This record gives sequence, structure tokens and C-alpha cells, in this order.
Amino acid sequence: MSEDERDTRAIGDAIREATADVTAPPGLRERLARPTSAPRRRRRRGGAALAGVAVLAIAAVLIVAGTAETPDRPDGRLAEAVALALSPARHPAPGVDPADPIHLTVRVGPVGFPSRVHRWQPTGMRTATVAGRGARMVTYRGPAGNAGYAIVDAPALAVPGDGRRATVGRLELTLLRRDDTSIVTWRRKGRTCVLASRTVGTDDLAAFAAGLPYAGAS
Amino acid sequence: MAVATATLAQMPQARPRRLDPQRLGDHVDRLFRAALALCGDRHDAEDLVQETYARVLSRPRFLHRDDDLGYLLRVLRNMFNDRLRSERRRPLLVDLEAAPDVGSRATDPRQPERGWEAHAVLAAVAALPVDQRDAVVAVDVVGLSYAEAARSLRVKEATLTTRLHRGRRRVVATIEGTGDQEGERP
Repeated sequence: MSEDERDTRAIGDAIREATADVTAPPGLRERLARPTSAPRRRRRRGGAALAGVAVLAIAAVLIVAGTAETPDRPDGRLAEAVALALSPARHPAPGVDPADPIHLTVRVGPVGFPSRVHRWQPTGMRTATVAGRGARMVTYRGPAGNAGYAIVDAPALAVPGDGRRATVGRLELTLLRRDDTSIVTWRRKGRTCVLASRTVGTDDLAAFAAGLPYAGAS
Repeated sequence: MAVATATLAQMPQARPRRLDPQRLGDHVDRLFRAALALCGDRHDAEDLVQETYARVLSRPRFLHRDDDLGYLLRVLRNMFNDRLRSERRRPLLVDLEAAPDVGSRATDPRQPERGWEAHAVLAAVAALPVDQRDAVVAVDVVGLSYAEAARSLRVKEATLTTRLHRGRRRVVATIEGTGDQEGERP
């Protein structure tokens, strides 16, 4: 054993000890267990069938392995959704749903993303998990900057009690500020919707949420 | 030559073994830790693990050794590098939790502080130079042996060992606030 190895072995042990409790979130296990998690590929009968069997097999393994429940921290869970809304898009923006032109083709359960709200245009999208729930995020470019629109699948996430409440149309919105970030969140059909931006104010995000014209306020 | 061919054919490890999809579930946690240490962002890490499994499961895989985890780590790392190349920028760092309040006192590397926070350690690993980061991830985060890690990274064991020790020292320096490296911020 070299001098270097003797010196740093304890560091390796400390790294291992510090990270040993980090486990894959339940939402990731669910995504891996879904047969649709495999990417679309060229048709090759044998390979496709084998991949399907493989995905089902790993689904069984993951279900048997069980899932570790994340700590129940309502503010933390909403913070995860906000982090998703602020993260960069991973894919191009989805197209407009021809059967429902006011929405994009991407949905979370029955809740869809708006295809265009006045001067807001979709620019990209991303899929993730938030607190073990499936979630999608679409980025929009608007008159005052960019915003991320995340929808988190049911059950709905708890909302911090220190936000400003506003009723716009049928929507019960909660408006929050966290450091330099504007956040608007509401529930729709059991899902949690979150709009977040570092450049757009909460009032304009609220107008976006309600489908109202950009106010230029806030 | 004929003798050499016969000898090779008799070696048991030369026979490829099919990767068993049912065993992949055992490695999700360790791959997720590795992805976190590479990406520094939990959403990116989840995407990376999912893409890795999707790629591995897209067709049958045959391995020459009983080294599933090392193989998965290699795929994960390749996919991460592909993603980096396509994005042409470094990943966002330290998006796991608020930065911990760590002291600035120097630490003897032979006696590092116990009770390091996982997010601080993973962020420090993510900020390492690529070669050192890969070595620390393979050995200390994923838990491969030196031989397995060297095979997974396709380097000699001596090379891996050197990178590992340098990386470990730099992790300590970063966590203790004496490092010269700062990760990029959004």
C-alpha cells in the first residue's frame, strides 16, 4: 500500500459513509417500472419484445425491492416543484393538440399546458418526478422574461401558509416570493400547478395562470 | 497459434454472459448516487438513470465478467458525457439543498471529519476535474473495487489509484473551504 493510499483511505470511507443513505426517489423507481420508460426505437421484432420483457422484469424487481418514503416536508415538496419549474428544458416544446388547440399535446392526467396565453409562447419541456409523483414542466417565453410551468401529479402538494391568496376566475392562487424567485401555485383536478420565474413578477405570473393579458405590473 | 487459440477458448471468463435484467433493480440506488455526483442536480440525475436503464434494456447485453454494476456505471457515464457534449456546458451544481454551514478549519486527510452531509460531498465530487471525479464516483460513491473501477473506466489500476487519491484530497479541500475550485452557478 502506497503512502498516498494510506493517507486517503479514510477520506474514501467518509465519502462512502456520507452518501450511503442517498437512495433513488420512489418516483424514479416508478418511472423505471413503467414500460413506457424505454425510448422509442426502430422496429426490430426480437429486440423490441426482449426489451419489453426486460422492462417488465425490472419492474417486478423494483416493486419487490420496495420504496423508501421521503420525509414529509410540505414546503420542501413544493420547493422541489419550484426547482423543476426553474430548471432548464430538456426537450423541444410540445406541439399544439389538434383536438384541443388551447392546450399542448403534453398533459399530466387531465390537466394540460396552455398552448399560448397572449404573449407567452412555449419554448421547451422536461419530465421529472417531484416528491414521488410524476411531473412535467414546460418553459415559456413571455414579454418580461421566461417562466417555467410545472404540473405535478396527484395527490396535491401542501402549500405554505405564508403566501398571498388571490382568486382569479375559478382559480384559487397562492402567490409567493422566495429570494429572487416569483412563484404562483394552485390546484387543478387534484394536481399541483406551479409557475415560477426569476425575472417575472408574481402578478404577471398570476395573470398568465388565469389566461389574462400581461399586465406589465409587479 | 493453434495452441494459443485453444487456450483462449478454454478460459471460462471468455464466454460472454447475458446481462440479467432482473438483477438491474439491485443497482438503482448506487447508480442514482453516481448520477447525483456527476450532475449535481437531482432532476438531471433521475433523467440520467432513467435514460441509462432505457438504453441498457433496449437490447440484450452480453458481459464477459460478473460485473453488472461496472457496466451500468460505464453506460451512465457515457450518457452523461454525451449529454454534456450536446449541451456544450458544465452541469448546474449544488442544487440539492441549501449549502451546509461548514467550518473553514483544515483537516488532516487521514482523519476526515465524520458526519459530512451527503449533498456537500456529492457537490464537491461533482466539482472535481473529470478524471478524478470519475474515479471517486466509481470507487467511493458506487463502491466498486479498484479492479472493477479500472475496467469500468477503461484505465489501468495505477492510473485509477492516482486519480482517486488526488480526487479525495480535493474533496476534503472543497468541503473544508480550502479548495481552489468553485462550481458554476445558474
